[in-house]
Amino acid sequence: AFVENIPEIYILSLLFFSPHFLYLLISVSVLTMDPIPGLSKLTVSSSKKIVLNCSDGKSFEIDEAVARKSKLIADMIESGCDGPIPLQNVTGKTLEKVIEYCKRHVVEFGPSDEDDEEAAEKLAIWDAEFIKVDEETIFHLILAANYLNIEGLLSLTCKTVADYIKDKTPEEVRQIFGIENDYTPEEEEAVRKENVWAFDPNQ
Amino acid sequence: MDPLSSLPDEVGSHILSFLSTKEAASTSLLSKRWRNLFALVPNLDIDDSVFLHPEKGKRERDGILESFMDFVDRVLALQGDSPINKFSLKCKDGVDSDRVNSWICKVLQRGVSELDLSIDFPAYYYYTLPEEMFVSCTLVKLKLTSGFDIHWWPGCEDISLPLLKSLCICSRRIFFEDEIESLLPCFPVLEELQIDSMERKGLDVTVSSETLTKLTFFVVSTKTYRNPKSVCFDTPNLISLSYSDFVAWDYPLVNMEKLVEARLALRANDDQIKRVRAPNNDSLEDDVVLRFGNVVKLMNGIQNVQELHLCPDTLEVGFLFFFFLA
Repeated sequence: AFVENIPEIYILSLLFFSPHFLYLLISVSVLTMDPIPGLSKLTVSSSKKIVLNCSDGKSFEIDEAVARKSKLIADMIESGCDGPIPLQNVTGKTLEKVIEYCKRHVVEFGPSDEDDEEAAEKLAIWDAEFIKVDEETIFHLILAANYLNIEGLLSLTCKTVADYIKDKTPEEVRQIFGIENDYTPEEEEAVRKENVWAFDPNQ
Repeated sequence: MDPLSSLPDEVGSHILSFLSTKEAASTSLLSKRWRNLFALVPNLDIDDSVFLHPEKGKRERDGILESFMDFVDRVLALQGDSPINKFSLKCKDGVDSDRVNSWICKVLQRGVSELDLSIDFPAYYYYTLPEEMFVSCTLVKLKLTSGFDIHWWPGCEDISLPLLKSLCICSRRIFFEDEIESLLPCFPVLEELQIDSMERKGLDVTVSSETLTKLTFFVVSTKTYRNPKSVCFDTPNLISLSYSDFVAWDYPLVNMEKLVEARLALRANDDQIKRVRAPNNDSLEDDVVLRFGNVVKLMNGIQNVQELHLCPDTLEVGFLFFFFLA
């Protein structure tokens, strides 16, 4: 920890000027298998924070890398937006959940113990748990992911809803989502005829 | 309105894009808002045989094929000229081949990047694929499947697929107008090529491509059971090879140094196998048997491979020589 807190420049200059320190560094790096101890952690993520203000007054401070998962926010940062970013269309409760997703999905640099396939599997399991929320929350997440332009979260939430529609009759889908059937019987018959190839006759 | 129905169009269609076209089409019955939402999905998979609850005899029922073709016409009309990503079509006899070609042309016009066609029209249809397909400048992935023969009918002067990265042809047999050597330059960025049963053309085969990384190449000779004279592989970036053909008399060029996985099935006819097995010293002077020795050149060319699968004939023909000539 002592070594990690020394700014890079001091570590490098000590290397040049102190044979004893060099000896210490080499033995530490042999022990930790890290060329310059702590240096890999120094290069992982920028420490710049971004502040997000929600529609209901709540405020969140997050790492820039996490915020950049949202293309909307990334574009704002690119075009020089420095201060807190107002997000009129997202409430605090929803944004909290969105941030949780973005944090988990930030690409980690540096050596990792597991290979890509294992990591992807773990992420998928995490996603499956993450999305186990009530219907209302899913829709808030869909709208937030759409507004903030977070591709992964949008696909995850949309696919979850699609799974509810799959293999169900229209009547079952109406019941699950509270959809009101506003067709007249004649209109409904006409729609069935239009797409008769798609329907099971018993529906 | 309920939360699902009040989602904006682009979100609603994003949800429906995770369903098959047929499943998405059934949402048209939910309410007025849903009537045509499914047509906004930029991927279409059209399958004339899949039903949500398969029922015997449904295909032959009066008008069902007509309603299927009308459905496709209607969806394409609803989609207008909006861009389309993937179009997959599966159909068999009974479906009008002219209409099929009009659908393929329509999606090509709209810039389709992935085409998956499984068209089982029997020979008497004299079905030919639309020529527009062979000059698309947006196609990235093309897959053709058929239980019958496929004729890749234009010659290479009329073929240009500049963005094509993956080509897969699985049919009973595929007939090309030209040799594969002249055909590959028509696909300058091709990475994956799979040909399940190419009817042999000439006796000299050259596969040459800078960009190819995966090659599956099965050659059949249903007309003449002859061994190719020479087979060359000039594919310096190839990583995976699956190759089946009669043993060639020579392998003058084998440039596949990056190959990691190889599956080889080098066939010989019964007479040739008999002569290879003959345990007498005359074998060394036997012309046929000596020329089989060039298989060593192929094996040397793939010596860095990490995974190697050989069929029994290949083992017999190829490895016997390692004892004589190694």
